[in-house]
Amino acid sequence: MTPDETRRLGDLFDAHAGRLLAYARRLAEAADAEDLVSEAFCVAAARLDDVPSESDRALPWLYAVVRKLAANHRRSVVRRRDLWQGLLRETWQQAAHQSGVEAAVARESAISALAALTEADRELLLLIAWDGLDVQQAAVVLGVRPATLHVRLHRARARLAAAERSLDLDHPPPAPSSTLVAAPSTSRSTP
Amino acid sequence: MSTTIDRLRTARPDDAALRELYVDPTAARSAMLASAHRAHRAHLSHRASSRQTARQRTRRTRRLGAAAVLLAGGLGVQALATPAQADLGALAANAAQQPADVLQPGEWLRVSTTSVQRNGLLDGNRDVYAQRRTIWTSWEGRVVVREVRPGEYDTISPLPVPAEPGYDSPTPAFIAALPDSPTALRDRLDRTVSGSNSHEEAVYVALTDLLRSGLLPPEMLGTVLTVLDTLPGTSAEEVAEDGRALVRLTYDHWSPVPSMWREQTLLDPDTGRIVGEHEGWPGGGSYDSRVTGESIVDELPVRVREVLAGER
Repeated sequence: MTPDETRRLGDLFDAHAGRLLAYARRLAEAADAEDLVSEAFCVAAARLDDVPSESDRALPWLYAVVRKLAANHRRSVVRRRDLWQGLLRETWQQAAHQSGVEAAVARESAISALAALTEADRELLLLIAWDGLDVQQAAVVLGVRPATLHVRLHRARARLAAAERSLDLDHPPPAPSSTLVAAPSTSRSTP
Repeated sequence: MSTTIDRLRTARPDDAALRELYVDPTAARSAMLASAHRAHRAHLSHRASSRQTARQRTRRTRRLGAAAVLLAGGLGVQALATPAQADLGALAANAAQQPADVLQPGEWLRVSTTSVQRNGLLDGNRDVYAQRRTIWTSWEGRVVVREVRPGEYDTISPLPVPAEPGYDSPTPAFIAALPDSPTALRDRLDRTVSGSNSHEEAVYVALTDLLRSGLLPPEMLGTVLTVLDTLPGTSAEEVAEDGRALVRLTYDHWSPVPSMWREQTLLDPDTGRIVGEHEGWPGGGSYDSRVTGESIVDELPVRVREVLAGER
């Protein structure tokens, strides 16, 4: 690799590694997630000319590579079912106006609603609402056309609303005592 | 707006918070860059740090046996008219019985290869590189590489000594500590390998790294071949090159790009040792290498010693 290529790869890592690791943690055990991200950057190194130069396009490109690597990562398949819940609990940010208990209740309510969905619906909604990707970006990650994604997103939202109604989210379940204290609030990046 | 979607957006962590998922982001960045460089070198066949192949030393003169000289010119392998599946299990059993010396403290394993790399669409150019390489490996795991491309360069490069030996950088001591039964070795590998596209691929990479080291004593070489024989995704067939029968081990890596990434290892049908390699990667690139000689030597050439002395 040339110094320029190494520099670009390092810049990509600085810009996106945290978000990619969080995504990988939804797809693989924590011990494997760092490897997945590292492998994704190895793929990027081999195909650096294919990686979009704009940051907002490079991120979904890298997401897609992580997703493909994880799909082929046999060990992750069996155990990935509830990984997203742990990741949400670990990285959930407490809003300034919320108490720790309020944040934990909001978090557990969201997890309950998402748990009622299919994996495909949940993945799509998390990409949009949690990862902050727009429809174009999420379409790149999932390898579908944006128009297709619009339809899937509309249906997923409808099913989420139904799940919220059936769960009666005005009366959410109590949060596990061990997870009542959410991570401290920090500045946010919104799409 | 859904209550849940609202909550997710409100609680979404920023990049700084997510970077904290790394125990040590700086170390992770360095490790990633090192991995990318290794992948670039190894997977795209820039194999300066790899240790090529088998040893067949049989004479006290510690010179290359004639059987080790496989190649004078081309690197083509011809499949037999009807390629027959090779019996890797029988080869493993035979290899385990072959006499061979073991590298001793104070000695160096010297392996020479020729290689041709043909870049493909993903490599930035369609260049073809032919190269000669000699690799010296010490009992302690020190590796020195001389690479020669006539008319272009002739370099001698001592490689960094790994912090600790592993499957990709084994030492005789590391190999001696491995389980000697196929079942136990596979179990050890299952518990200790990681970092590939699949677990089976990680096992394959570890096994071929061990083979490629040239440091396996016959019994362990037989054990490694036996594990390869039972590894899903691995196949073996009989091929011929320059009139000589060989066993070709094939493994298709998973690749995130459309075409397949294939790795092939050519084995001596008697000793089970590596005599050549082929790799084809997405985009049409390929890399072929053949062993042209190997021996165990008591000391390094003067030029190599000078480079090592200068490094200290």
